Amino acid sequence: MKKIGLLALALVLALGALGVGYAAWTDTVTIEGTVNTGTVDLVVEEYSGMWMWKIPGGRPDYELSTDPAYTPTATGGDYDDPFIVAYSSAAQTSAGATPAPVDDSVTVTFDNLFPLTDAAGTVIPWEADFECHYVGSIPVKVMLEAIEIEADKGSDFSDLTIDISGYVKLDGATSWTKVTPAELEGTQLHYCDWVRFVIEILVPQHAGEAENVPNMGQSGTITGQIKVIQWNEYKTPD
Amino acid sequence: MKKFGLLLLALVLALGALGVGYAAWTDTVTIDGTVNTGEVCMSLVCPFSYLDNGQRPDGPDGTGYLVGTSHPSADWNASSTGTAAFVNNPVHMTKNVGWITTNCPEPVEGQVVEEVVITLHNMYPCYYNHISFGITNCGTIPIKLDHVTFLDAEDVVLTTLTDDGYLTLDLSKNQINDVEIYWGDNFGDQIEPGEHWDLSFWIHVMQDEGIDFSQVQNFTFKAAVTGVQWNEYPLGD
Repeated sequence: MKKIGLLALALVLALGALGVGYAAWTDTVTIEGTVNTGTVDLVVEEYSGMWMWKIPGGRPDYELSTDPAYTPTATGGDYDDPFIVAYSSAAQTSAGATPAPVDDSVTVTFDNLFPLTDAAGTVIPWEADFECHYVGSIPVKVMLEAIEIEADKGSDFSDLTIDISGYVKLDGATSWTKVTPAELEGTQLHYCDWVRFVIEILVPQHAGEAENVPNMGQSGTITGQIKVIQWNEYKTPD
Repeated sequence: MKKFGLLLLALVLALGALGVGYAAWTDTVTIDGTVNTGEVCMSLVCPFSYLDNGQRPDGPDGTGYLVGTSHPSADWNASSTGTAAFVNNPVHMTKNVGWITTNCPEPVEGQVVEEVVITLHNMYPCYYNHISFGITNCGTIPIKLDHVTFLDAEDVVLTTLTDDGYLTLDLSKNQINDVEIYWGDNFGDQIEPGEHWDLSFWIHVMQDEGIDFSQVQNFTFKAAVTGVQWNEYPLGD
């Protein structure tokens, strides 16, 4: 009986020792926090173009404006009212929808084009342009995807050229800086920077009438894309 | 076993790199649109009209040669010094000797007439006529009359007018002028798409002593009227 008592005591002590092991003092560091992702967002905010006004009998008898609601200032017109002969413009694809849409789609129209020259007689392109505001939080770089004209059946635009140039307002600048297509490609945009993309179509002026005739009365469609990509994934075009 | 582990690690790294490449964040602006070019187009308007109305005197419906003054088929005559400028006002004669025809086609909606041949028949020195015609703007761009080029039968340019005035032509190529023309002032006038100019010129057959009038002589000249998109007028050199 005495042995049984000793055995029970030993068991109690062993269990007690085990209990001390589980009761060791501890301290815990708790990690809490928030996570949010950045944004890549180029918003098209303004649209413009070129409108060629014809002013019958005016001096001068034509004016070029960047406003379709423009009132020509020439005087001396003796018949008819001024009217728009040709224009190139950009507009929001779903303009007029209610509620006002927010989209990244632009429709450009180049209508009744002919060779256009500046005061020095140099042939200049017709332009349709739109301004984009970069409101994303992640820096991006501009990628100019191919823009091209697909001629309708029976038409041929091989003699005309289409390109994208632009202007930028970066780092809080208040005025536009013109950049070439080569400079525009890869331009880095930060939050609140602006970039104006200009779609240009140049109708050449040849010396001979026979060379100009194939460029008349042609029609086609324009397709293109402008992409911005997070700056650290940008790859220089081949 | 160790080699297999390295292989797995390389595969994971490769997929990871691939995943990063495709996962770049982007935003795209899509551009769609249309383009069409305008057209500069001029078309002669038929029929032409003449001061001497062009009735043939000896045809089945002819008027005969002696028609009397003021008859619409009676010829008109003018004279000159042999150089440019008619010296006398044209005089309405009493005979119907010369006449004019053209190959003007019957008017057809939408048809563009780029060339009309005017033939002056049975001409003689002093014969005069006033030829009127229209040119319509069949394009989409306003145009102005820039210049008129006179060419011979082989399309060699004889002279070019950029303003109203007289000119003489040596169509017989014998160094003696045989035709005199006055082109009125339409240069710089503009026509809108769908509208037209009224143009005219005077023509006077001169005395060319070098021509053998005992045989029928045919002389040809061409007058090419060039219009230009209104905002590029004048074309200059």
